[in-house]
Amino acid sequence: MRAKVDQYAEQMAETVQESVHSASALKVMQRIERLEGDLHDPEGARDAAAAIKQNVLDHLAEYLHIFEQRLIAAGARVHWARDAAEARQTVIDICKATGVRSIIKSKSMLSEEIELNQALEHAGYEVVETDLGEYIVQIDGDRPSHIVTPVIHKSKAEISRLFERMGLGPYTESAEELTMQARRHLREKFRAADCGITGVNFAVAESGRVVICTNEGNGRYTASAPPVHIALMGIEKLIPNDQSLAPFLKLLARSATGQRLTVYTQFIRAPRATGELDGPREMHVVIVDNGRSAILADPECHEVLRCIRCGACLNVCPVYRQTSGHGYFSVYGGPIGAVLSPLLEAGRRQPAPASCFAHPGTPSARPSTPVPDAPRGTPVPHPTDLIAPEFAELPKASSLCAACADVCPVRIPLPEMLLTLRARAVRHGFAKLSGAPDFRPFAAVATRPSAWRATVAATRLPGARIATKFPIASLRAWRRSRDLPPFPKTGFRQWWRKREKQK
Amino acid sequence: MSDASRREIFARVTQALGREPRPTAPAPPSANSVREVSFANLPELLDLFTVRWIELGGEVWHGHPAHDAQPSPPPVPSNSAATSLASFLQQNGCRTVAIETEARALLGENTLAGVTLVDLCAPEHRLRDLLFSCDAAITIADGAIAETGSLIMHSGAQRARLASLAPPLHVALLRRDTICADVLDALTRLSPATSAAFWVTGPSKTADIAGILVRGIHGPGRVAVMLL
Repeated sequence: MRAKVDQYAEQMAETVQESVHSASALKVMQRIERLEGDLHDPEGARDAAAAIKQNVLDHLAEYLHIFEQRLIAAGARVHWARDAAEARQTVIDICKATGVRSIIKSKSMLSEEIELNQALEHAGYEVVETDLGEYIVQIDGDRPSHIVTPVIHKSKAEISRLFERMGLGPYTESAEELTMQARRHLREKFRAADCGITGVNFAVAESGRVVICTNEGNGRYTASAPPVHIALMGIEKLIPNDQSLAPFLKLLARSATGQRLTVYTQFIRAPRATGELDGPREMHVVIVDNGRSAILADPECHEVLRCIRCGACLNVCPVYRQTSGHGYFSVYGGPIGAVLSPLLEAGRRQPAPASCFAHPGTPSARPSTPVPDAPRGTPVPHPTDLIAPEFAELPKASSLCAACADVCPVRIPLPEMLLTLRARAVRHGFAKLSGAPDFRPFAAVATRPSAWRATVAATRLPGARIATKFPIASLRAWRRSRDLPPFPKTGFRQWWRKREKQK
Repeated sequence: MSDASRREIFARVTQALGREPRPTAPAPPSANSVREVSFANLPELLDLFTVRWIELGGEVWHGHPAHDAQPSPPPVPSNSAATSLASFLQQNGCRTVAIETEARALLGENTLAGVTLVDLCAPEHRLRDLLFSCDAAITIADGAIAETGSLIMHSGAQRARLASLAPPLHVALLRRDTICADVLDALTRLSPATSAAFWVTGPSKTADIAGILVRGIHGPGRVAVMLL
């Protein structure tokens, strides 16, 4: 059984792979230009961002509390959701209470993580994704293939045919025309929607602001046009105060696409104030856990919660470039996804601590039962042993080149975490892939000098290279996507002896 | 449900961190106060802002003719500013133009020849009709950021968040002495009380379709600054 990511890469259309590859390469170049060319101290900014995010995680309870207080004082409503089901229900309850029928959404990875759209549609609401790429994904019934550029895998022709089918306009090869078709169609949605759901890039505790960074303008419409605004965020999105936003605003857009800032940076504190001519009447912030608190408890992997979802690690990853996000079969792909997906999934299955039920005056406190959607018989992992079997092979979708660690603006030690998760998978017996050959024969030869010398000598025999292609099934499988270097004519020891003699 | 959820989330976080939450606010580490722009004199800031703004595809022109000589611009624009604004709008075929009260006040008694100015108004459906159908909107920019080429705007009384978003062309009136140096600077000036502040860094754009950059996807495809 070969890894899903290998199988996926194999069947990908070459044109798609090329466009994923070249778009990623371009963004990598732009990132370097903007970071190194622009900033006086890019490494200092990364250090600061990493330290601030770590400080937030180390004091998460305090920051959450402060943030909540500020929002409430400003007139916003704060909701808490333990898991995906609760988050979905919270959004539906808000919509029910406010008489909403039509909903517009701007980009939110979290909303995909909790599978919000299907739930809303099932409950009878019209939901329209308004980010152009996400809109295309939605009307095509597809999935996004990259955190920042969701339809990097689609051609102009495909998109135009899709728009034509949906009645947006006639077939055209012009990207400008296609964009205008989408603009005209979505404008009407902005105008008429009852509710707007956004994500949150940063949640500033001290000032109680929700910061949203976007390029198209749909994020501004979504937060400002409908009478109800719902902002969805994970518990880890906090930032201490306005000034500590500086390194993040310096790094986010530069790391993602090489821009200095995204076109629109919104700082939202409250619903419409007296005298303002527009703006939502109600602002709701839904703060979601969904496995994050379990990762917080993981001494080896909690730093992954620093992630600001810039996508730089995806752009630079050789494996991502060969497969796009779809190859990871998870909401989060690329190096960050290879770490987050197995952790989040396992984290969701952690039972609640006993202490939260010891509160007096909670007649509705339920007994401590496992989270309902954990499969029967799934062992409950220890905090230091989080890894979900369904995603256990993702950490192996890596060459361990560590390019991701080089680009991460908050210095998440992704390569170390990939190794940690691989070890956990092995301990649990989760990752059984025939792609990796048995290394015991190699170990046997490598620990016996005479055997080693004999093997090396054998590589100089005619037909030696060809011999590596047939005999052993696992070696064959391993070799399918790896090239052996040419065997040298002379062994190193011979060369060394000769060299020493010449001196 | 939310109360029980809140309790549980805090309990999980508390358990994860291995200690009870403290009553005092934590002390965050320094935010890396390396300045990206080390100068603060207005003419240089203005130059940098102009370069960055134009790089992004923004447009900019001076509302007053003799700008360099003046240490600080007059608070009320002269006739020439109104004339210059009118001619810009006419050149761009803008016939119906929405205008914010404060912007209207800045123009004083002047009207704009050849252009129908419509004030932002209540009720909301009329406001929306206006903003979704006008050719352009004129608003005040509360400031700008030289480093990034950004305009700073706050929501406020008699202002509409959609005025700088819905029309295809947005004209911002910007006083030169409100330009600040860089992002760090701009963050220290974020008003603590405003319900929504936003920074606009060029025209709306996307490259979602085959990586091809297109302007004006949802927000204005053209943004123009008249400097005062």
